Amino acid sequence: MSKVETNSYTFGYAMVFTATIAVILALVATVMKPMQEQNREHAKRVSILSTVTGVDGADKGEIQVMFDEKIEQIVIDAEGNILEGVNAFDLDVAKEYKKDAPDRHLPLYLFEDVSGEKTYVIPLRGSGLWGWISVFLALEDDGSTIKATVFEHETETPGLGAEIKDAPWFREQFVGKKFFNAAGEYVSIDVLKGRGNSLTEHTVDGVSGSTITSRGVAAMLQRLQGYEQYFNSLKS
Amino acid sequence: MSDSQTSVASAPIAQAKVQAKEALFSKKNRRLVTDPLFENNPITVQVLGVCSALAVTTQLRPAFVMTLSVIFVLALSNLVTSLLRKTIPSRVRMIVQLTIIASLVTIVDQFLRAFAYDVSLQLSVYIGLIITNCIVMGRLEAFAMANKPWKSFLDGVGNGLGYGAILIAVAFFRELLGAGKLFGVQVVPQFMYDIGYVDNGIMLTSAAAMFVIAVLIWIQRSRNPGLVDVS
Repeated sequence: MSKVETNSYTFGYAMVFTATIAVILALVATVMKPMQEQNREHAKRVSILSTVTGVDGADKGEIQVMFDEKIEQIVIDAEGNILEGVNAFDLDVAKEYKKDAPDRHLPLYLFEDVSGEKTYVIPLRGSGLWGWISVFLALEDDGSTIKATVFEHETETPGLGAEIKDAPWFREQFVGKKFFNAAGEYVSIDVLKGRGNSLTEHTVDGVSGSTITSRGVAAMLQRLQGYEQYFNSLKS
Repeated sequence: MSDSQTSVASAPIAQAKVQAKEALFSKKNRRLVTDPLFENNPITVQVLGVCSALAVTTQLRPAFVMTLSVIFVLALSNLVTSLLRKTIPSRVRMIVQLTIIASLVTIVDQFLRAFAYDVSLQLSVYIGLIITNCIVMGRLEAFAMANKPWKSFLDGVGNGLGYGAILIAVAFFRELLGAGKLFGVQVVPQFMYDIGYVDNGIMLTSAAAMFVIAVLIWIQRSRNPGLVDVS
């Protein structure tokens, strides 16, 4: 047997090869990380701003300025009290949802336009079929009626689960839907199976062929209840 | 031995060595790059890598980025595999090849997320799928394991270009006919829409990509009858 085919050579080769590749990949990831982080933050600002105002054509610097000037960042606790000293933008929503409900700190963004009309932009996060899904909801100042939505996902299937982000019809159907019913009770917005259902103020169509992602969206929307105390305190 | 004697004795050997070394861009080496563009095109002749040709060709921009990514991965993995070919134990041959490909694809993915974030979101799943692209594994096995580094590199570039040519051709028609745009820029003038022209929605589906590729194969084989029964 030639030297290349012996067991010990094969074993040693595999070890050295794997170790080398690991080091190279770790180096690349570390070097690229700051730039990737900047890109993610920029995308987040664009998502938030796009629910309340136009963002087309603005470059990164302009978006940053727009965001800092027009958006007020608020962090609340489970009882609806505002917390000082914490930045809503930097809050890791996924981590917060791993805590028990009473311990969570939740972010929200307040936008006031020139006429004094307030819009609350709320980030929610949930699980799709393959990875996380998230949404930025722009709510009217009643804390219930949706003005706009922007969905994101990590790795949902293109053409199926990914339609929550890619298909305009999906997010547009949320406009005007309400989380609270006429009696002021929290009922959330449910995502029905498939399309062509008869809808109410509290239901929307799901994406055909992607049951699990649609269910994930419905479960994610339930989490708006975490803001119920806060919105009630605003009314009083 | 005196100096003059050694130089006389070694001159013919040196001359023979110079003749044996091939020029970097000799005719044979150039053909490694040009053959996969037409006669041996990975998609239309070898019929490999068709899957991603359907998925990323709705617009020209992602098709272009995908092409560059595949050329990079193909050329470099061919090169690295060829450099290592004599050291790889046969029992782990496929695993080593796969690791090389996967690492290069990971590097491309990291790079895109840092420098072309919006495109990386569009291509998200498909970049990872380059690892499973038959062309890459196919060329590694068929060429890089048995050929020298420079030739393997050229073969990778050639096949990447051949793949890219088809991708861009398909994306050209799909974006033009399906959205009236090229590279995101509106090309079909407004007056066409006014007189009743409508964007062809079918072009945005994968089925349309199949049709376009089929037409390209048909045109190629009509012009070159030698390819008719190749696959």
